[in-house]
Amino acid sequence: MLTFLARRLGAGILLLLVISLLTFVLLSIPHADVGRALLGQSAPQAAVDAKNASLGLDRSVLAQYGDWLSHAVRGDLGRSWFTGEDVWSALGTRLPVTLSLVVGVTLVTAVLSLLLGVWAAVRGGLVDRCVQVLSVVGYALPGFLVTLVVVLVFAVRLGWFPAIGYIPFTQSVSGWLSTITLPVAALSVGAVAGVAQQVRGSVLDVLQRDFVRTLRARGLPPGRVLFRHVVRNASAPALTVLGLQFVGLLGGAVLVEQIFGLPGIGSMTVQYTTRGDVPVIMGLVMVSVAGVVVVNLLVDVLVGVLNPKARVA
Amino acid sequence: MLGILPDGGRVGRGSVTVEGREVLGLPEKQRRRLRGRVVAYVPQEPMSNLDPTFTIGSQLVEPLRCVLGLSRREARARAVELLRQVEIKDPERVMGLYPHEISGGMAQRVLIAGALSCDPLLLVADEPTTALDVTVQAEVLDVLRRVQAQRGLGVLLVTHNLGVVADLCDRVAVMQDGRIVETGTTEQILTRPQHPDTRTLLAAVLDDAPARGEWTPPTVVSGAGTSTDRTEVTA
Repeated sequence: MLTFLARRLGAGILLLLVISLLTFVLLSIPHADVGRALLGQSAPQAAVDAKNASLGLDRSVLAQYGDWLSHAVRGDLGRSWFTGEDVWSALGTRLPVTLSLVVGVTLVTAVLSLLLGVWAAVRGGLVDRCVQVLSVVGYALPGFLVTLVVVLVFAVRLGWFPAIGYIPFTQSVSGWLSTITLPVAALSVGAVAGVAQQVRGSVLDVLQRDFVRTLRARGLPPGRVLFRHVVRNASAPALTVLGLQFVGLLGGAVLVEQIFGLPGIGSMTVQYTTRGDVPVIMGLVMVSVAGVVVVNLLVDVLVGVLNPKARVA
Repeated sequence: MLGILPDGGRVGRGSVTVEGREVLGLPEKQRRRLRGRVVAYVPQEPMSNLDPTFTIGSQLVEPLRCVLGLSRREARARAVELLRQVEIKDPERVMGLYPHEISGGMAQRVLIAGALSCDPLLLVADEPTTALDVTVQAEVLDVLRRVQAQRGLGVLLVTHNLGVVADLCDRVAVMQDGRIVETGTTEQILTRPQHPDTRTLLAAVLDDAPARGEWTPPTVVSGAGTSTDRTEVTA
């Protein structure tokens, strides 16, 4: 298990390296003339050249990347070209917002899709069909549409929650809850739909297995067989899908943060990418990729805990 | 039909009685009370009948605690004892293993131990040796024979294997298309079959010489729970 984890971690670091290089190269193409953008159209060419040189832009892309990398491995992601803000501190204020969003959605999805999936699988019939139809609809509906409807109904019509804005957890717990509930709900719809389907499928699959019959033949209560044995066996594939959903959520967060006016990683990405602020974008990409790597690792560990057979692999 | 086996199928007719009580119409709750404690089940395929995510120990302890209501320590001691009864060496170690870490023969012993855990009166063994290789088959049959004798257990063995029948059984019911076509003592059936289907069955085995030159009947133990079962299993 340990060597397995070490290997996965190594692969994660490699992934970070490759993605950082690719992102860096891609970013260097459209934003060659950053000095001009910074100083304005009327600035003399000499000043623009001097600005570009001071940012290191007169050197080759690879040299620039090497420079960035050598600082990054020491934990220095540099400063924003446009605001001069330290990238880490900019990330530090935005990250908690997106984290509370994404973690919230993941928890809600895990609980709801487990309940729905098991319910549909065990009950069958009408319940099963309703859950099936709802999850197809939920999965197919575009996220922005769900978000807009949610805002319209719960914020504008009913006025239960604020439509936009964010209150940090440290400032007010109830305020945090009220600002985070709608975005979480909006993002959860698609995720629950996808994972519930997976839970339903794997529960049905496990229910067919021989050991379930044998456990029943021992006289164990059906509820115990279901929640202790069936759900545990069915959870590994569901967890994998949940992990994938999490990765998708990072993308979904961009949209939802824009709509709800949440100052998170997603809205930050939009803001800085349009300006071509390379150090900040690099920081954002690194944090997102690291998040994905960590979540995948976590899923692997959890699957290993739940299913001893997977520990060997 | 102990309530759980058929899916998609229905009970057309026939009857299943356990200890003289009709089971077919019983509500699920009452049938559950019979499972494990009165009638226990040893499945055909050992490896797929253990939950891969729990240790052998916890799977043996669970029914002891849930069905019999033993304490954790009592249940554990009992489980180790059960493993010893099915002749597993080093039961303490096996308790901590996962199903994928043991062999098929060992898994079948664990399943027998699990079936015995709540002191049933009747053991229904559905082709318990089909999935095992020959030497392990003999060992598992030995285990079955021994626990049967020790506990005065009724064993209902479902099998195609006439060697197993000759080895283990007192009485035989030959089934064809879900109907019992002939019943009798093992000696009767094997030496003086009446029904044509039984003859076909025997002819299929005894190709050159009789399987055993001189056949001695096994020590007949009439089990405490010998029940008149008529299960609709196709043999």
